[in-house]
Amino acid sequence: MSTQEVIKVGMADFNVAKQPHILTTLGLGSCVGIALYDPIHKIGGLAHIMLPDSTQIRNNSNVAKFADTGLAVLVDRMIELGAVQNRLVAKIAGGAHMFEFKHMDETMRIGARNVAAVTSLLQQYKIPIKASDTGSNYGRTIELHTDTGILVVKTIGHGVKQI
Amino acid sequence: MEQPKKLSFQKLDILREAGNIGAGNAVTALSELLHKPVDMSIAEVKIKQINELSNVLGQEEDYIVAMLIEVDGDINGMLILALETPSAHEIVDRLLDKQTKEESFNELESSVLCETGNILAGSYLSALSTLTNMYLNASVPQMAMDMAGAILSFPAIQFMQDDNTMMFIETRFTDKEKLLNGIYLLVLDENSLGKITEALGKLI
Repeated sequence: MSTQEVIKVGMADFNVAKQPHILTTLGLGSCVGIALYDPIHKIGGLAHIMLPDSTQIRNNSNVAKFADTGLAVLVDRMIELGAVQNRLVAKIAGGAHMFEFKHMDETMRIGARNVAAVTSLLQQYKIPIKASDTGSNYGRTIELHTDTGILVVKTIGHGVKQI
Repeated sequence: MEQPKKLSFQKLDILREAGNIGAGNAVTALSELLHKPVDMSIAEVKIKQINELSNVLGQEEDYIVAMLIEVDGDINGMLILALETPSAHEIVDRLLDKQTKEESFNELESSVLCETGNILAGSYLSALSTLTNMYLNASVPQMAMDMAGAILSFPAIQFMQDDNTMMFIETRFTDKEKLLNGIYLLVLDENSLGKITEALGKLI
């Protein structure tokens, strides 16, 4: 077994890895972290998306920025690594509402829109959501452990949990 | 890969000057509030790709206090005042003449901090407004204490929807003992940058 590496996924970025490696993304705010996992082959994938829908944006060349194109590329790359699509399970985190501005209406609550988009896309892909830790008003750091499929969610002042 | 945006030297100069004057005014206000000298760096104009954003307010997981003010009117922007957590305590302690506990603030302390942010943002924006002769309307400041990355995601999402870069004018300040370390970011969309350089260009 190779040495465990921690692979960092930035904002509007994604990566895939086999056990025993860990995929992590730091300081998720309104963005959503999508963690996919094939429990048989122990292959993980993590995307850090910023916006719900690439079709609403003219300049959409950065695929990992959007929920729709980000999820598509993540699934593709996991299959390339040997994962089987109908075995994939998902865990999601993030989508916080970091700031409350008065003139902001529901449509501006980007965190909630990101979560809704990811949830509905995962349904379309028939990937079950095993666990989620979304919403509220605080940031999260997440780690997907590819040996177990556990997603560790760390916060400042709101504890650490494993989902 | 798309071509990174570039601004001419003259435009950069103008924007730096706008940052110096805005932040200079705000730092003077801070120094008067605290009755102690506060030094300011020269403003820098930065154009960052998404993958370069992570360390703008410190590392992603750094615990910071940030105040955000949305600016509309003749421009569309966001003014961010970010403080290292100990610096926020230093401000509250000096203003209330007491020792606050690390980690969290009570309601009074938060409101003192928020009001300070309000005063500082007001001085920044009024200087910029006077200089450019533009109408700038500031929202009530919103405060958050959290990971730098999570806080930064808010302006990033707002200003990087159609764009893969974020443009802002950055000014840092500190005091002699380095107890007070903070940063001002004025994030602007491209159109607003253009309006500011145009308004100030006429003065040169």
